[in-house]
Amino acid sequence: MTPILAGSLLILLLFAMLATGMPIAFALGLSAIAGLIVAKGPGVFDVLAETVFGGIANLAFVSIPMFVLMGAAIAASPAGRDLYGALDRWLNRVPGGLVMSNIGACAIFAGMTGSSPATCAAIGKMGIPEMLQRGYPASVATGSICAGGTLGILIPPSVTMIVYGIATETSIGRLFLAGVMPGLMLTAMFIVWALIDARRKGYRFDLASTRFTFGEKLAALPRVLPFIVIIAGTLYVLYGGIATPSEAAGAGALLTLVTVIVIYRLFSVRLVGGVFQATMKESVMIMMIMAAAELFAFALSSLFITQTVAQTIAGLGLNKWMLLAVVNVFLLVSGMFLPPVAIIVMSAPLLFPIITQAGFDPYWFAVVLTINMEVGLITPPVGLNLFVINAIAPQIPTREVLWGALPYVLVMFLGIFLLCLFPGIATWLPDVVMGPVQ
Amino acid sequence: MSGSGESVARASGTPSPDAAAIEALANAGVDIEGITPAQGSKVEHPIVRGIEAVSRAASVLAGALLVAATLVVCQMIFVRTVLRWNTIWQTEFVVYSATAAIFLGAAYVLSHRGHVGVDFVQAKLAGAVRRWVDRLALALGLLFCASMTYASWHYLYEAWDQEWRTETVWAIPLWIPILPMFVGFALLCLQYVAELIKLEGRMR
Repeated sequence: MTPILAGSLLILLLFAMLATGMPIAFALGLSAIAGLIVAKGPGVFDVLAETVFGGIANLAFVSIPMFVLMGAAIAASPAGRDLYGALDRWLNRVPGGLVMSNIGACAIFAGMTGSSPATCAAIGKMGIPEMLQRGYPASVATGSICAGGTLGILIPPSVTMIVYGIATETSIGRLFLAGVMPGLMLTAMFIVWALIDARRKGYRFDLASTRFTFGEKLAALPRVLPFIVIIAGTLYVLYGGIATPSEAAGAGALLTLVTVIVIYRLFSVRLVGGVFQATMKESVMIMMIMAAAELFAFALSSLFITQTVAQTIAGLGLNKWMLLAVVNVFLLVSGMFLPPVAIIVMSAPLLFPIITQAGFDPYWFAVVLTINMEVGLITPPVGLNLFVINAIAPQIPTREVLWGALPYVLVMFLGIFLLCLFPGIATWLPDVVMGPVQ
Repeated sequence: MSGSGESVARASGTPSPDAAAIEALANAGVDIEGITPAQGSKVEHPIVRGIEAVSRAASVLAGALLVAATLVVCQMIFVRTVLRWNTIWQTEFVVYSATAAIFLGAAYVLSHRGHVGVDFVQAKLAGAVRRWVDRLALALGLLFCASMTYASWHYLYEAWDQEWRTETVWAIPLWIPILPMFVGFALLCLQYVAELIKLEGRMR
């Protein structure tokens, strides 16, 4: 059997298993075991456990539960409400300020929690009713929250970036930095589109009649700032090389949890237990996929698929932009069906060598990949953000939610296009802070 | 490999929050007050109740291990940067307790549909086809977990028999961190049996 045929069969087997609805982690693992038995015979059972254990029992992986804990602690608190309230007070006299405070709150909260659906729920619960009340078209209200929520996997700290860093052995600190400018750029582009869309649908930007005093504007800050300071501190420690990502995340997580308890006076064992419970569930889900992906990568290389695919693609002599277009379509399509973690760990052993060989910067590529994953979060059939909006604003027809979200997909494509034209948007900040890649 | 995602299924349909979607939201940390789906029969088979109790107990242990890992990470930073001592056991403790937490929590996460899957193909099916696809999904999951239970037993036994130790100053016997992996996959097998019983119960 040629490696290409073996590879196609393996992928087909994997997709057939996925179609039954079984957990992605187990489908990955089982198809890998099947491939390994073909490649190495039944004796392979003797090394399966060692491969899985050796793969995930290392310090870099510890940063995943730690960053998840940090996000879960903030998501469990009313910090989202306060953040939204604070931004609204500052921006309510600006025309279109409500759009800015909605998408801005999404960007900040998504960055803090790293969870896209949690952001949609936390900000959307206040933002959508408020926008509807002030007469914004429903599609503007839902679309902006839907899209704003996706920023969490791009703006640091981001678990998706950590997974990419581990899977491709790139620097997590550098990946985080690479996401900053593109994250801000997308935030601004979302705001611009939301304003255009509102105007297009006949919305007139009147100034809100409520005025907030300077005191009122300051009042909400003490409850929001500590989280921003902790996260900035965590990232500073990480970039300064003072601690490894796992250590920085661990300390940041503990500080965040303590701050949530102190500021919101949530001295309850149930709450803290709930936060750890949520952290455990999310981390188990991610890490099981990564553990199974160790087997999958092992199977791919045992069947010489990894090597052959890289050689074949290199042999085609494709123009590098053609190559990128193909890779992008692949990411986009798989992003519509699979969660980001699964796509990254499955495609890293195949795509990463091809991309770097073609001369693309691995950190720049991480940003492009992440934006593709963001698109998957707001497109059917498995766009989690759409479900969330549906659950918190059931009075708005699903069609309208979908049509409201669709233009933001185009905005993200435009973002990818800009990144191709000006790669510096992603690579400039890491180069300035950490020096050029050695 | 490009475009192979299409072979999973075609994009179609509009999202509607059914039971699975709500569960997914809850797992994503979304507050789902007031939109809980109607529950089926509350009376569970005694075997199911027993297995779920064991899975829950293991998940509590997993949560405790995560708490311990978080605290030790902070202690490690303090010891190294403030006291300027060498850290000996901390890194290994953190790594192995986080890994153990993942394996020990897996069965509980399975019982709460927390292991994300691609379920929109299966959600479109109905009647006998749906029943068999659901059974197949559980059987395949069980097959993987059983394979890994066997494989980790083999690894555990080897580590025990050859008296392997970790390659650090702390040098603990390697079977100790491997044990949770074996226990975790064994619990996953049990939980899969419970899921099969639950499935058959729902169909009756």
